[in-house]
Amino acid sequence: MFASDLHRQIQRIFEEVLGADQTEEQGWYPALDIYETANDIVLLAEVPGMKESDFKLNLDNNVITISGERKLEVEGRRLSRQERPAGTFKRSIALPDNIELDAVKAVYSRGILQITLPKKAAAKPREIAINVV
Amino acid sequence: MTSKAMTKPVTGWLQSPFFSWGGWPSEFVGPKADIYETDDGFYLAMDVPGMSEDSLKVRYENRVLTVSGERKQQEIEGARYHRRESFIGRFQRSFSLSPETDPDQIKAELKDGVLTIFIPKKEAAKPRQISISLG
Repeated sequence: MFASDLHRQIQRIFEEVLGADQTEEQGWYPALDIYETANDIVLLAEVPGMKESDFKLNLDNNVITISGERKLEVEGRRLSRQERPAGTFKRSIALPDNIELDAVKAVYSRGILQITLPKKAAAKPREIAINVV
Repeated sequence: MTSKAMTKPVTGWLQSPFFSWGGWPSEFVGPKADIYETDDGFYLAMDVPGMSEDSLKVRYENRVLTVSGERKQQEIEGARYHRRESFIGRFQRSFSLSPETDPDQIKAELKDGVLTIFIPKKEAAKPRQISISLG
């Protein structure tokens, strides 16, 4: 697949999936960066102050859904000003169909959840033997 | 002292001319923060995902606590961005503190992308039980 096709496909699906997702769901949306390298598509979600057990990752039909709940209340502390988002969140991202779904990896570090989605090895050029008849 | 009176000290969210957020909506004024109060002091919790302690500065001067920092764009070889919602750039936020807080004992900690600053109350400002003596 050409990179531009992939790009177009991702853009198109973002509109479909994320557009619908945001109108239907309550709560907040972690900021999301998505970049692509030769080998991977990488999603970075900003979800500071959470634990790995607070997240759920779901892969279904080439759509990855990141959901979780951010709990900020601490016993014995009275909140006097709140700007930080809390509560449940959910974001879905449609993936191109060249993702190696079994090799998806997620790491949580410094408040960022990084999900690495390796691309399938592209069909390699090969030589075809010519049979002389 | 009532609890209501004590919530006053950490306020005064000074608008700062130092914001330079790349590609952010104009209403975004800096990292989001919460303020909590306990009997012992105040907790300021600020979301700074992806930042290291080297890129953050906490400064106290003249009863003003200032948190500043810079988040640089991560350079990834051959990366092409499809979506970029995280902020890049410098920020500064200032908070004025009440004279009832003890600036010598301010502590800051960075964990899981949250900067937590503890500002203790002076002993005299902490709530305490007053014993009743029988006359």
